[in-house]
Amino acid sequence: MSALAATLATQEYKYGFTTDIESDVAPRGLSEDTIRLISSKKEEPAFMLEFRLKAYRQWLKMTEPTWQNVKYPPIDYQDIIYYSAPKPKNKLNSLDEVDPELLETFEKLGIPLHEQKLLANVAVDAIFDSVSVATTYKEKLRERGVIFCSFSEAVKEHPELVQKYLGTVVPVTDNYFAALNSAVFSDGSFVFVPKGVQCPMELSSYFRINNSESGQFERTLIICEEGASVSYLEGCTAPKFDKNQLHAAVVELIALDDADIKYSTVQNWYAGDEEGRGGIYNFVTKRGKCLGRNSKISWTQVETGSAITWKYPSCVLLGDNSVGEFYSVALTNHRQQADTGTKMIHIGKNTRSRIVSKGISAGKSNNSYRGLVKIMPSAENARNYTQCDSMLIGHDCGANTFPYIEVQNNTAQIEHEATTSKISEEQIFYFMQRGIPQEDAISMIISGFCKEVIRELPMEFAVEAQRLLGLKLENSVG
Amino acid sequence: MTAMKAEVAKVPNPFADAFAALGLSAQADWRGAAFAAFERRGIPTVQEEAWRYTNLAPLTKQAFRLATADGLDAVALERSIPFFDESATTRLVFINGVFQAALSDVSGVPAGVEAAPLDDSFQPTTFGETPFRALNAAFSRAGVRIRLPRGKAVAAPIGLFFVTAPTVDFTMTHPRIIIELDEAAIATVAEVHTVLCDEEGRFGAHPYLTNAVADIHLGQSANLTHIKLQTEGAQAYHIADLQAVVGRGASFTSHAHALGGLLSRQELHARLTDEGGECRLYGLQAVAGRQLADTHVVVDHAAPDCASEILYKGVFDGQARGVFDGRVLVRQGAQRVNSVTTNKNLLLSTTARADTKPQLEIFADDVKCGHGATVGQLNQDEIFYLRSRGLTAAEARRLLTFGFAREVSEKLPIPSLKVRLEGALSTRLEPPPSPHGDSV
Repeated sequence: MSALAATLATQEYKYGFTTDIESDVAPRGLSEDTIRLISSKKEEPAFMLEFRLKAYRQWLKMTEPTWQNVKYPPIDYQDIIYYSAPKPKNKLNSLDEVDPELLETFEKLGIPLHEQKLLANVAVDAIFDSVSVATTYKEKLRERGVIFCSFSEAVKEHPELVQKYLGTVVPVTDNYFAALNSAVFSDGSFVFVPKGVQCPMELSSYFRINNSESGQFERTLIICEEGASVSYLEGCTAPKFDKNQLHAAVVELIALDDADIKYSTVQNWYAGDEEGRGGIYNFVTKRGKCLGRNSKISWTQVETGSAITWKYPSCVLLGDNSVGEFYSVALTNHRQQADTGTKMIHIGKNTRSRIVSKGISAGKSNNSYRGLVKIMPSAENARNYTQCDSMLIGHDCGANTFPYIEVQNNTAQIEHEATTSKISEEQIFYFMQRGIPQEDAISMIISGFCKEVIRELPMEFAVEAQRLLGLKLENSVG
Repeated sequence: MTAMKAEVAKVPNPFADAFAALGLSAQADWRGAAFAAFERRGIPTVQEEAWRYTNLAPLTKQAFRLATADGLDAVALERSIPFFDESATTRLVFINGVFQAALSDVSGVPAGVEAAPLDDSFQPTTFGETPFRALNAAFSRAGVRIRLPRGKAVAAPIGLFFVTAPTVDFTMTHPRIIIELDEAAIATVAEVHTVLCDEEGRFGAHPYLTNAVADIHLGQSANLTHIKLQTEGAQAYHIADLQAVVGRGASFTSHAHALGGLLSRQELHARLTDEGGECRLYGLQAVAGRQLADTHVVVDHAAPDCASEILYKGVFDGQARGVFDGRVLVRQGAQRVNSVTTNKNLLLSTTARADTKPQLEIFADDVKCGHGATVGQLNQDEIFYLRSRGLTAAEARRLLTFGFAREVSEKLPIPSLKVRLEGALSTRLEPPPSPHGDSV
């Protein structure tokens, strides 16, 4: 790519505004008192406080992992604000009462709750800093028995469901950041789809970090009962700050017999500037459990933001004939770092999994795929297909692949393939010769490279993701 | 995502007594420094990423002592040593770590070429990179140096036979091999590690440790074919570390086949330091019973216009375990590198296990790198096809497995060694006697 010598210009982060909203913040730092404060602010039942304290005590005993292929200065966990909520003027009964400034923020983000309510058939749960501010379409969902609400609401109104499932997929002892999240999470989304119900619309939540010194610790729990299905979308943005912010979320999915969960993410947290100042540390634990027979969990992610992305959306395939899928596009530019991939744990008979991962690195970024495919002795006739492709743009970036394949049953069939390549000058020449400018050519080649993943996204998100990829790479080849 | 503890658990040192028996002072002697380096590092545990699938705990359960050739009638053992059938081969033979001049034959070595046992003056320049390198440095008494001057070519393969004939339990040898090829020199070196069984079947059942180190330097346009055949005893531990530095336009081809040992670990690092270097690494891991075969390959592309090919196949039966870790690194500026890694594993029994980890680390954009890995069992349709043509199930299984391994074994450039490898593979594939004799 010598002729196309990379001149890296800053692609302005268009979601980098802050909204001036009074917020109710907890004092800086973490202690049992902070946790009790969060729990009491949220008026939680006793079991939640116990869950949090257990996690906190566990967290104190743990040390931060060091094996990852990303580098960051040590995080001072006492310098984070663990609870930040937009100050409610009074209790809200309908969307019309939501702070207009807040609504404006969401409009800038491209989710005008009012209009979209009618236009797009999507129910939105918007999470601002750590608190869910509005959930649309609640009534319509309730008719079908689907519960879609903020996590704190679920704790109040459906404590039995929360108590039954919380922490069953990602136990508090799972890892350092999951333990931290379990101790301090302030809100998130809760979805429950009862037996036999196909959720009538796509569910979506939008996360936004607004306060410069708060961490965001949200918790998502999705339960699909026998024969139910749901498609859930998650979008993320944050304002531009010079300080790094920690985002340590936990997502738990549970699929019972014949249930089908599709979880899509378009992650565009602020990535820091060209020199790597600021940006979000996106350290997230996402895991789904295919508990029932013939259940299916599918993860699709388009990761374009964050200074550091470090997460492995995983599937535990317990039920016989269950299916796990992972489709990922991870794009890094400037000084972004990504260490992402998946884990597929095959336990049940005839379990199948499919992994398609596309990594694109540009600028001075570093992009790693790390994945585990584990076939337990009980997993008769398990099947896995893995494909990881990396593309490098410019000569200062890195692309790594670290797949782990562990097979303990000879009836398993495992295939893994990986390639690393670049956009060739011939390809660009071909486009330009036909009158297509270089920028467009690159954008089209990237779209083609990511096609297998993008087509797994729901329509609205696919459009957004395509556009995002183009935007992110603008001016990276010149 | 469980946190890996940085603390390395302290395990007992099974070599301390043997080192004390050498009567060296830790300060005065470089061997002492090497042993201290080993002690500081300790025996790796499964907590360490590079050893997560290979547990060395059994090594630590008893003390090892240096093997001796005392009381062995080496010449009487000659018939049992699996020498190559090709005439005019040069060979250097070690039994229990002691050079056997009577069994060796260096008459065919051309003038100017060195192929001789290391003398006492040998001292490694560094030894601290890995614990077993340091351990080798501390104990190594026997080794070989092969040095070809500029432009020399040795057509016949040079055979290095490291034979263990253990008469007691828990002995150890630490062979060291140095191969240096100057500009445009060409050679083939075959390293055979085996256990010796005499007519009464003695020796084979004793546990022992072979800890081999090989250092290879290839000058500009040099060409080395290195063969390693490991058929250690059923109770043996075999740990080997090979490091090759491949110069400008040089070519390094490795054939490393692991069939023996209770636990074997082969490290193979090739560093392509200058433009146009090439390396081809082929290997077969075929183990059964409770054996474990572990191979760690690293190809480090530090210069542009280099190429590498890695092809490893595994055949695992019984409760055997196979581990493959293949890491291809392309450093910044190492443009136009072409690299392919393939690892295919065949599990012949329900209790066999394969762990594979092919990795790519790329820091240059104009490269073509790929890897593929598979784990599976024999195809039932293929077995059916062969049976429909009159083969028994056992024959079909043997034929298909043989065909699977052949892609690697047929690349061996020494015909008699190829026959021996394929023979060993066939014996390995003999199905367990069954009353019906016709079931898979």
